[in-house]
Amino acid sequence: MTLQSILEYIYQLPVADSIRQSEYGFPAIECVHVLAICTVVGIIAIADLRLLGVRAHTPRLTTLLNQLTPIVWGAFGLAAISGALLFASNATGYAKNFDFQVKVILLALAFLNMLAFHLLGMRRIAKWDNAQHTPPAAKISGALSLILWVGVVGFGRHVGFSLLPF
Amino acid sequence: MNELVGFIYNSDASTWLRTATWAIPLVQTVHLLALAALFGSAILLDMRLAGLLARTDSGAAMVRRYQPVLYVALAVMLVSGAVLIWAEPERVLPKDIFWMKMGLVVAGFASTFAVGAALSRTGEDQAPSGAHKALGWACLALWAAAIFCGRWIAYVY
Repeated sequence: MTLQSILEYIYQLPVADSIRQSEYGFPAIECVHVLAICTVVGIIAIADLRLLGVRAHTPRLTTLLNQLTPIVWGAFGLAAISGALLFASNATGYAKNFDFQVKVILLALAFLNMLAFHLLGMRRIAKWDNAQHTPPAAKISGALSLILWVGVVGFGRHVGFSLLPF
Repeated sequence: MNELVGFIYNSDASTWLRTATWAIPLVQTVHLLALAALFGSAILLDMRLAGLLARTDSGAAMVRRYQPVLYVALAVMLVSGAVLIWAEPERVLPKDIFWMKMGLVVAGFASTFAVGAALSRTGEDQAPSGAHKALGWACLALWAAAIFCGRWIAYVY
């Protein structure tokens, strides 16, 4: 079972075929993908900017971040599902594309960073309340997050210029 | 319309934007990142008005913190959008879907202004009225519809 045979298997899945055959399938799924990305990147960017910029961490920021967590993860799931469908429609093509490969690597790193912040940072976040500054580790995580997501969006957009549609 | 498209297309600036292969992807990426910032702040403000987020914060505090982000993002989108129109006028100006998107952007802007005004009068822990809930959701829906139309432009010939 080689990577190529896995990709070809995905390409030949009935759902992938129906997306290729349908007139509005790919555009509609891509619109959902874009909307989900705007939600994920937008909320993360604003949360990151607050973490990087805020001088005093307040309990209200903690509450807000806790409320935003399910929204971000839900939107990430929607982006992942829509992304998987888009990928399946041209699995063999996307896998060979340099921009797509870079996007996936950056996405994996951004996901790991999200996970680390969620599991490690959010646990400790209540302890930061009323501290003078956000801990350096949180600032690094926030800055890294912004850089990685900008990369994901940039390389993701460029796929449309470097890969011809199926 | 064709004359306008032709006039823009044949300009030096338009030609340069199209021949510098990195220009359009870069400006589109800026457009997309600004869109994320706009939509993220819209979620925070609209859902605060609808009473689903940060209810213990006063509406006025939320407006002070996030409305500037939204309006700066909108400005970046208008500038990057104008560059994109100038680079590829034939891609957008003749299409109804583009004008529908611009109409939705205007409506989104108007409803965002209304959300800001309503939030400025909303205090901490104040329960949202039915009108506020409707306005919050309507505003978000308008921006989401604009995003859909924006991406759909590429698929209309």
